[in-house]
Amino acid sequence: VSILVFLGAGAAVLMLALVLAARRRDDEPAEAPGLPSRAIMDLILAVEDAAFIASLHDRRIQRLFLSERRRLALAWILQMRREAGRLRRMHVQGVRETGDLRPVMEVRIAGEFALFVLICAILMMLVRLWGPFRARATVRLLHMGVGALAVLGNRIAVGAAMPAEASAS
Amino acid sequence: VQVFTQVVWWANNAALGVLLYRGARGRLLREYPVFYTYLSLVLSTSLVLFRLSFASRHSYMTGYWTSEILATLLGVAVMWEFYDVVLAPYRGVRRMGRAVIATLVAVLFLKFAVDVAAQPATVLMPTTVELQRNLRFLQALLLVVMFMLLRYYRLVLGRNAGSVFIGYAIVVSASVINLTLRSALGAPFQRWWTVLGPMEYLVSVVCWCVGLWSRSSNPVSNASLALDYAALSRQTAMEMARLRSRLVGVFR
Repeated sequence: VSILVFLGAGAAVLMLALVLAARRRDDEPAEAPGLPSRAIMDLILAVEDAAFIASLHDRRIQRLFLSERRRLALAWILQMRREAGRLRRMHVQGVRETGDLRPVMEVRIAGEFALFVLICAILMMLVRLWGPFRARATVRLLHMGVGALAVLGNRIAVGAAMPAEASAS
Repeated sequence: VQVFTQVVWWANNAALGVLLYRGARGRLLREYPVFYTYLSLVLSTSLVLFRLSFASRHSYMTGYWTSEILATLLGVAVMWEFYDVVLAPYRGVRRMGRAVIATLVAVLFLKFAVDVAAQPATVLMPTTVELQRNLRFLQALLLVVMFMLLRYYRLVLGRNAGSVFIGYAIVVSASVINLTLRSALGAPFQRWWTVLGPMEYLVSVVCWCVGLWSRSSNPVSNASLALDYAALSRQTAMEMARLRSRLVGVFR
Protein backbone atom coordinates (compact mmCIF):
# COMPACT_ATOMS: atom_id res chain seq x y z
CA VAL A 1 0.00 0.00 0.00
CA SER A 2 2.76 2.46 0.93
CA ILE A 3 4.48 1.82 -2.42
CA LEU A 4 1.25 2.72 -4.22
CA VAL A 5 0.86 5.88 -2.10
CA PHE A 6 4.39 7.05 -2.96
CA LEU A 7 4.03 6.17 -6.66
CA GLY A 8 0.63 7.90 -6.74
CA ALA A 9 2.05 11.03 -5.11
CA GLY A 10 4.89 11.12 -7.64
CA ALA A 11 2.53 10.67 -10.58
CA ALA A 12 0.14 13.31 -9.17
CA VAL A 13 2.89 15.94 -8.89
CA LEU A 14 4.02 15.16 -12.43
CA MET A 15 0.44 15.66 -13.65
CA LEU A 16 0.21 18.99 -11.78
CA ALA A 17 3.41 20.15 -13.47
CA LEU A 18 1.96 19.27 -16.87
CA VAL A 19 -1.34 21.02 -16.08
CA LEU A 20 0.52 24.12 -14.90
CA ALA A 21 2.75 24.07 -18.00
CA ALA A 22 -0.32 23.92 -20.25
CA ARG A 23 -2.15 26.65 -18.34
CA ARG A 24 -2.49 30.12 -19.78
CA ARG A 25 -3.40 33.40 -18.11
CA ASP A 26 -6.39 32.74 -15.90
CA ASP A 27 -7.19 36.11 -14.42
CA GLU A 28 -10.06 37.18 -16.64
CA PRO A 29 -12.88 39.06 -14.86
CA ALA A 30 -15.96 37.09 -13.92
CA GLU A 31 -18.54 37.25 -16.74
CA ALA A 32 -21.80 39.18 -16.45
CA PRO A 33 -24.41 37.77 -14.05
CA GLY A 34 -26.89 35.36 -15.55
CA LEU A 35 -29.08 33.80 -12.87
CA PRO A 36 -31.72 31.77 -14.72
CA SER A 37 -35.31 32.59 -13.86
CA ARG A 38 -37.25 30.13 -11.73
CA ALA A 39 -40.32 30.78 -13.87
CA ILE A 40 -38.52 29.30 -16.89
CA MET A 41 -37.82 26.07 -15.04
CA ASP A 42 -41.44 25.95 -13.86
CA LEU A 43 -42.47 26.18 -17.53
CA ILE A 44 -39.96 23.48 -18.50
CA LEU A 45 -41.39 21.18 -15.83
CA ALA A 46 -45.04 22.13 -16.44
CA VAL A 47 -47.18 19.03 -15.82
CA GLU A 48 -49.98 20.40 -18.03
CA ASP A 49 -47.68 20.26 -21.08
CA ALA A 50 -46.72 16.67 -20.30
CA ALA A 51 -50.38 15.73 -19.84
CA PHE A 52 -51.33 17.36 -23.15
CA ILE A 53 -48.55 15.53 -25.04
CA ALA A 54 -49.56 12.26 -23.37
CA SER A 55 -53.16 12.78 -24.52
CA LEU A 56 -51.98 12.81 -28.16
CA HIS A 57 -50.94 9.13 -27.88
CA ASP A 58 -48.08 9.61 -30.31
CA ARG A 59 -44.83 7.93 -29.12
CA ARG A 60 -42.64 9.94 -31.51
CA ILE A 61 -43.96 13.29 -30.30
CA GLN A 62 -43.72 12.16 -26.68
CA ARG A 63 -40.09 11.16 -27.18
CA LEU A 64 -39.29 14.44 -28.91
CA PHE A 65 -41.03 16.41 -26.15
CA LEU A 66 -39.16 14.58 -23.39
CA SER A 67 -35.83 14.95 -25.14
CA GLU A 68 -36.36 18.70 -25.61
CA ARG A 69 -37.46 19.20 -21.99
CA ARG A 70 -34.50 17.16 -20.80
CA ARG A 71 -32.14 19.34 -22.82
CA LEU A 72 -33.72 22.54 -21.47
CA ALA A 73 -33.67 21.30 -17.86
CA LEU A 74 -29.99 20.35 -18.17
CA ALA A 75 -29.19 23.77 -19.65
CA TRP A 76 -30.99 25.46 -16.74
CA ILE A 77 -29.04 23.45 -14.13
CA LEU A 78 -25.78 24.17 -15.97
CA GLN A 79 -26.60 27.86 -15.95
CA MET A 80 -27.14 27.68 -12.17
CA ARG A 81 -23.77 25.96 -11.80
CA ARG A 82 -22.10 28.63 -13.90
CA GLU A 83 -23.66 31.26 -11.69
CA ALA A 84 -22.27 29.55 -8.59
CA GLY A 85 -18.85 29.40 -10.27
CA ARG A 86 -19.05 33.11 -11.06
CA LEU A 87 -19.90 33.84 -7.44
CA ARG A 88 -16.91 31.83 -6.23
CA ARG A 89 -14.60 33.53 -8.75
CA MET A 90 -15.81 36.96 -7.65
CA HIS A 91 -15.16 36.00 -4.05
CA VAL A 92 -11.59 34.74 -4.58
CA GLN A 93 -10.70 37.68 -6.81
CA GLY A 94 -12.00 40.04 -4.14
CA VAL A 95 -10.39 38.45 -1.08
CA ARG A 96 -7.10 36.96 -2.28
CA GLU A 97 -5.13 40.12 -1.58
CA THR A 98 -6.53 40.87 1.84
CA GLY A 99 -4.39 40.11 4.86
CA ASP A 100 -7.18 39.00 7.18
CA LEU A 101 -8.30 36.01 5.15
CA ARG A 102 -9.71 33.36 7.52
CA PRO A 103 -9.05 29.71 6.65
CA VAL A 104 -12.23 28.49 8.40
CA MET A 105 -14.43 30.86 6.40
CA GLU A 106 -12.61 29.96 3.18
CA VAL A 107 -13.12 26.25 3.84
CA ARG A 108 -16.81 26.93 4.56
CA ILE A 109 -17.27 28.76 1.25
CA ALA A 110 -15.34 26.09 -0.66
CA GLY A 111 -17.57 23.49 1.05
CA GLU A 112 -20.74 25.39 0.08
CA PHE A 113 -19.55 25.49 -3.53
CA ALA A 114 -18.58 21.80 -3.51
CA LEU A 115 -22.01 20.88 -2.10
CA PHE A 116 -23.71 22.95 -4.80
CA VAL A 117 -21.68 21.26 -7.54
CA LEU A 118 -22.53 17.86 -6.04
CA ILE A 119 -26.26 18.64 -5.98
CA CYS A 120 -26.05 19.86 -9.60
CA ALA A 121 -24.29 16.63 -10.60
CA ILE A 122 -26.93 14.48 -8.87
CA LEU A 123 -29.81 16.43 -10.43
CA MET A 124 -28.21 16.27 -13.87
CA MET A 125 -27.72 12.54 -13.50
CA LEU A 126 -31.37 12.08 -12.51
CA VAL A 127 -32.57 14.26 -15.41
CA ARG A 128 -30.36 12.36 -17.87
CA LEU A 129 -31.44 8.96 -16.59
CA TRP A 130 -35.16 9.44 -16.00
CA GLY A 131 -36.04 12.72 -17.67
CA PRO A 132 -36.99 16.00 -15.91
CA PHE A 133 -40.50 14.96 -14.80
CA ARG A 134 -39.49 11.71 -13.12
CA ALA A 135 -36.42 13.43 -11.66
CA ARG A 136 -38.70 16.02 -10.06
CA ALA A 137 -41.00 13.30 -8.74
CA THR A 138 -37.98 11.46 -7.26
CA VAL A 139 -36.70 14.61 -5.55
CA ARG A 140 -40.21 15.28 -4.17
CA LEU A 141 -40.43 11.74 -2.89
CA LEU A 142 -37.02 12.00 -1.27
CA HIS A 143 -37.94 15.34 0.27
CA MET A 144 -41.19 13.90 1.66
CA GLY A 145 -39.31 10.89 3.01
CA VAL A 146 -36.72 13.10 4.73
CA GLY A 147 -39.53 15.28 6.13
CA ALA A 148 -41.40 12.25 7.47
CA LEU A 149 -38.22 10.92 9.08
CA ALA A 150 -37.62 14.33 10.69
CA VAL A 151 -41.17 14.39 12.11
CA LEU A 152 -40.75 10.81 13.38
CA GLY A 153 -37.41 11.75 14.94
CA ASN A 154 -39.01 14.72 16.70
CA ARG A 155 -41.86 12.57 18.03
CA ILE A 156 -39.41 9.98 19.35
CA ALA A 157 -37.35 12.74 20.98
CA VAL A 158 -40.46 14.28 22.58
CA GLY A 159 -41.69 10.84 23.70
CA ALA A 160 -38.31 10.07 25.26
CA ALA A 161 -38.24 13.38 27.09
CA MET A 162 -41.75 13.09 28.54
CA PRO A 163 -41.19 10.19 31.01
CA ALA A 164 -38.03 11.90 32.22
CA GLU A 165 -39.95 15.15 32.83
CA ALA A 166 -42.77 13.22 34.51
CA SER A 167 -40.39 11.45 36.89
CA ALA A 168 -38.64 14.76 37.64
CA SER A 169 -41.93 16.45 38.53
CA VAL B 1 24.69 2.79 -21.37
CA GLN B 2 27.71 4.08 -19.47
CA VAL B 3 28.70 6.48 -22.29
CA PHE B 4 25.12 7.74 -22.56
CA THR B 5 24.96 8.31 -18.78
CA GLN B 6 28.27 10.19 -18.92
CA VAL B 7 27.01 12.41 -21.74
CA VAL B 8 23.81 13.21 -19.82
CA TRP B 9 25.81 13.87 -16.66
CA TRP B 10 28.15 16.36 -18.39
CA ALA B 11 25.20 18.00 -20.16
CA ASN B 12 23.58 18.44 -16.74
CA ASN B 13 26.65 20.13 -15.32
CA ALA B 14 27.01 22.39 -18.35
CA ALA B 15 23.33 23.40 -18.15
CA LEU B 16 23.63 24.05 -14.40
CA GLY B 17 26.67 26.26 -15.07
CA VAL B 18 24.74 28.22 -17.70
CA LEU B 19 21.79 28.53 -15.32
CA LEU B 20 23.95 29.96 -12.53
CA TYR B 21 25.67 32.36 -14.93
CA ARG B 22 22.32 33.61 -16.31
CA GLY B 23 20.99 33.91 -12.75
CA ALA B 24 23.93 36.09 -11.73
CA ARG B 25 23.60 38.24 -14.85
CA GLY B 26 19.85 38.65 -14.60
CA ARG B 27 20.00 39.37 -10.84
CA LEU B 28 17.75 36.40 -10.21
CA LEU B 29 20.05 35.22 -7.41
CA ARG B 30 18.66 37.95 -5.18
CA GLU B 31 15.09 36.93 -5.85
CA TYR B 32 15.61 33.19 -5.36
CA PRO B 33 18.73 32.91 -3.12
CA VAL B 34 17.85 29.49 -1.67
CA PHE B 35 17.03 28.06 -5.10
CA TYR B 36 20.36 29.19 -6.55
CA THR B 37 22.19 27.90 -3.44
CA TYR B 38 20.50 24.56 -4.14
CA LEU B 39 21.69 24.63 -7.77
CA SER B 40 25.24 25.55 -6.67
CA LEU B 41 25.21 22.66 -4.20
CA VAL B 42 24.05 20.23 -6.90
CA LEU B 43 26.75 21.41 -9.33
CA SER B 44 29.58 21.44 -6.79
CA THR B 45 28.70 18.03 -5.32
CA SER B 46 28.44 16.62 -8.83
CA LEU B 47 32.01 17.71 -9.57
CA VAL B 48 33.29 16.51 -6.19
CA LEU B 49 31.63 13.14 -6.79
CA PHE B 50 33.32 12.93 -10.18
CA ARG B 51 36.67 13.32 -8.41
CA LEU B 52 35.62 10.77 -5.75
CA SER B 53 34.63 8.23 -8.41
CA PHE B 54 38.36 7.76 -9.10
CA ALA B 55 38.96 7.04 -5.40
CA SER B 56 37.41 4.12 -3.48
CA ARG B 57 33.81 2.98 -4.04
CA HIS B 58 33.09 3.43 -0.34
CA SER B 59 34.08 7.11 -0.30
CA TYR B 60 32.05 7.71 -3.49
CA MET B 61 28.93 6.09 -2.02
CA THR B 62 29.29 8.02 1.24
CA GLY B 63 29.71 11.26 -0.69
CA TYR B 64 26.80 10.45 -2.99
CA TRP B 65 24.23 9.78 -0.28
CA THR B 66 25.43 12.69 1.87
CA SER B 67 25.02 15.08 -1.07
CA GLU B 68 21.61 13.61 -1.92
CA ILE B 69 20.32 14.13 1.62
CA LEU B 70 21.75 17.67 1.74
CA ALA B 71 20.15 18.53 -1.60
CA THR B 72 16.80 17.10 -0.50
CA LEU B 73 16.86 19.04 2.79
CA LEU B 74 17.73 22.21 0.89
CA GLY B 75 14.88 21.34 -1.46
CA VAL B 76 12.40 21.77 1.41
CA ALA B 77 13.85 25.25 1.96
CA VAL B 78 13.43 25.92 -1.78
CA MET B 79 9.75 25.12 -1.44
CA TRP B 80 9.43 27.49 1.51
CA GLU B 81 11.16 30.26 -0.47
CA PHE B 82 8.86 29.61 -3.42
CA TYR B 83 5.81 30.08 -1.18
CA ASP B 84 7.30 33.33 0.13
CA VAL B 85 8.12 34.81 -3.28
CA VAL B 86 5.00 33.77 -5.19
CA LEU B 87 2.49 34.54 -2.44
CA ALA B 88 4.16 37.78 -1.27
CA PRO B 89 1.38 40.02 -2.71
CA TYR B 90 -1.29 37.70 -1.28
CA ARG B 91 -0.66 37.84 2.48
CA GLY B 92 -3.88 36.10 3.46
CA VAL B 93 -3.37 33.24 0.99
CA ARG B 94 0.24 32.89 2.19
CA ARG B 95 -0.94 32.68 5.79
CA MET B 96 -3.47 30.06 4.79
CA GLY B 97 -0.82 28.10 2.86
CA ARG B 98 1.41 28.10 5.94
CA ALA B 99 -1.47 26.93 8.11
CA VAL B 100 -2.12 24.04 5.70
CA ILE B 101 1.60 23.14 5.64
CA ALA B 102 1.83 23.26 9.44
CA THR B 103 -1.21 20.97 9.70
CA LEU B 104 0.28 18.62 7.11
CA VAL B 105 3.64 18.44 8.90
CA ALA B 106 1.86 17.90 12.24
CA VAL B 107 -0.12 15.01 10.74
CA LEU B 108 3.06 13.46 9.31
CA PHE B 109 4.82 13.76 12.68
CA LEU B 110 1.80 12.23 14.40
CA LYS B 111 1.90 9.30 11.98
CA PHE B 112 5.65 8.99 12.60
CA ALA B 113 5.06 8.96 16.38
CA VAL B 114 2.39 6.26 16.03
CA ASP B 115 4.72 4.18 13.81
CA VAL B 116 7.58 4.57 16.31
CA ALA B 117 5.32 3.42 19.13
CA ALA B 118 4.32 0.35 17.11
CA GLN B 119 7.67 -0.67 15.58
CA PRO B 120 10.52 1.43 17.01
CA ALA B 121 13.37 -0.58 15.47
CA THR B 122 12.29 -0.41 11.82
CA VAL B 123 11.03 3.20 11.93
CA LEU B 124 13.99 4.76 13.74
CA MET B 125 16.55 3.18 11.43
CA PRO B 126 15.36 3.89 7.91
CA THR B 127 17.70 3.34 4.98
CA THR B 128 19.07 6.42 3.25
CA VAL B 129 16.84 5.64 0.26
CA GLU B 130 13.75 5.60 2.48
CA LEU B 131 14.73 8.80 4.30
CA GLN B 132 15.28 10.59 1.00
CA ARG B 133 12.03 9.21 -0.40
CA ASN B 134 10.10 10.45 2.65
CA LEU B 135 11.60 13.94 2.37
CA ARG B 136 10.76 14.04 -1.31
CA PHE B 137 7.24 12.90 -0.46
CA LEU B 138 6.93 15.86 1.91
CA GLN B 139 8.05 18.16 -0.92
CA ALA B 140 5.49 16.54 -3.21
CA LEU B 141 2.76 17.33 -0.68
CA LEU B 142 3.97 20.95 -0.45
CA LEU B 143 3.83 21.19 -4.24
CA VAL B 144 0.29 19.80 -4.28
CA VAL B 145 -0.83 22.35 -1.64
CA MET B 146 0.82 25.14 -3.62
CA PHE B 147 -0.86 24.00 -6.82
CA MET B 148 -4.25 23.87 -5.11
CA LEU B 149 -3.82 27.39 -3.73
CA LEU B 150 -2.78 28.66 -7.17
CA ARG B 151 -5.81 27.02 -8.77
CA TYR B 152 -8.36 27.99 -6.14
CA TYR B 153 -7.32 31.64 -5.88
CA ARG B 154 -6.66 31.85 -9.63
CA LEU B 155 -3.12 33.13 -9.11
CA VAL B 156 -0.94 33.38 -12.18
CA LEU B 157 2.77 32.62 -12.07
CA GLY B 158 5.28 34.61 -14.07
CA ARG B 159 7.76 32.88 -16.40
CA ASN B 160 10.49 32.64 -13.73
CA ALA B 161 8.29 31.33 -10.92
CA GLY B 162 6.41 29.03 -13.31
CA SER B 163 9.59 27.37 -14.55
CA VAL B 164 10.91 26.96 -10.98
CA PHE B 165 7.64 25.25 -10.03
CA ILE B 166 7.41 23.00 -13.09
CA GLY B 167 11.12 22.04 -13.05
CA TYR B 168 11.04 21.30 -9.36
CA ALA B 169 7.80 19.33 -9.69
CA ILE B 170 9.52 17.14 -12.32
CA VAL B 171 12.53 16.59 -10.02
CA VAL B 172 10.35 15.73 -7.03
CA SER B 173 7.88 13.47 -8.85
CA ALA B 174 10.60 11.56 -10.70
CA SER B 175 12.61 11.22 -7.47
CA VAL B 176 9.64 9.90 -5.48
CA ILE B 177 8.86 7.34 -8.20
CA ASN B 178 12.53 6.31 -8.64
CA LEU B 179 13.24 6.08 -4.91
CA THR B 180 10.07 4.07 -4.30
CA LEU B 181 10.96 1.61 -7.05
CA ARG B 182 14.59 1.47 -5.84
CA SER B 183 13.39 0.81 -2.30
CA ALA B 184 10.86 -1.82 -3.41
CA LEU B 185 12.78 -3.62 -6.16
CA GLY B 186 16.30 -3.26 -4.74
CA ALA B 187 19.38 -4.09 -6.80
CA PRO B 188 17.60 -5.09 -10.09
CA PHE B 189 16.40 -1.50 -10.42
CA GLN B 190 19.94 -0.12 -9.96
CA ARG B 191 20.68 -0.15 -13.72
CA TRP B 192 17.59 1.89 -14.53
CA TRP B 193 18.28 4.14 -11.57
CA THR B 194 21.69 5.19 -12.94
CA VAL B 195 20.16 6.10 -16.31
CA LEU B 196 16.85 7.64 -15.22
CA GLY B 197 18.26 9.82 -12.40
CA PRO B 198 20.47 12.10 -14.54
CA MET B 199 17.92 12.15 -17.39
CA GLU B 200 15.05 13.42 -15.24
CA TYR B 201 17.35 16.05 -13.81
CA LEU B 202 18.40 17.15 -17.29
CA VAL B 203 14.73 17.71 -18.25
CA SER B 204 14.28 19.93 -15.17
CA VAL B 205 17.49 21.88 -15.74
CA VAL B 206 16.51 22.54 -19.37
CA CYS B 207 13.09 23.73 -18.13
CA TRP B 208 14.81 26.09 -15.64
CA CYS B 209 17.24 27.32 -18.31
CA VAL B 210 14.34 28.30 -20.58
CA GLY B 211 12.28 29.93 -17.83
CA LEU B 212 15.10 31.62 -15.95
CA TRP B 213 17.06 32.85 -18.96
CA SER B 214 16.09 36.41 -18.10
CA ARG B 215 14.22 38.19 -15.33
CA SER B 216 10.45 38.30 -15.61
CA SER B 217 8.30 39.54 -12.75
CA ASN B 218 5.08 37.88 -11.62
CA PRO B 219 1.92 39.35 -13.18
CA VAL B 220 0.25 41.92 -10.95
CA SER B 221 -3.42 41.36 -10.26
CA ASN B 222 -5.76 44.10 -11.42
CA ALA B 223 -8.46 43.16 -8.89
CA SER B 224 -9.22 45.79 -6.30
CA LEU B 225 -8.55 45.18 -2.62
CA ALA B 226 -11.45 43.86 -0.61
CA LEU B 227 -12.46 46.39 2.01
CA ASP B 228 -14.35 44.18 4.41
CA TYR B 229 -13.41 40.52 4.23
CA ALA B 230 -15.89 39.37 6.85
CA ALA B 231 -18.86 41.08 5.16
CA LEU B 232 -17.87 39.88 1.70
CA SER B 233 -17.41 36.30 2.85
CA ARG B 234 -20.69 36.27 4.73
CA GLN B 235 -22.44 37.58 1.64
CA THR B 236 -20.81 34.93 -0.59
CA ALA B 237 -21.81 32.14 1.79
CA MET B 238 -25.38 33.48 1.94
CA GLU B 239 -25.60 33.77 -1.85
CA MET B 240 -24.34 30.20 -2.22
CA ALA B 241 -26.98 28.96 0.23
CA ARG B 242 -29.66 30.97 -1.61
CA LEU B 243 -28.61 29.49 -4.96
CA ARG B 244 -28.74 26.00 -3.47
CA SER B 245 -32.22 26.41 -2.03
CA ARG B 246 -33.39 27.86 -5.35
CA LEU B 247 -31.97 24.90 -7.27
CA VAL B 248 -33.48 22.29 -4.99
CA GLY B 249 -36.70 24.29 -4.57
CA VAL B 250 -37.46 24.09 -8.28
CA PHE B 251 -37.40 20.29 -8.16
CA ARG B 252 -39.31 20.01 -4.89
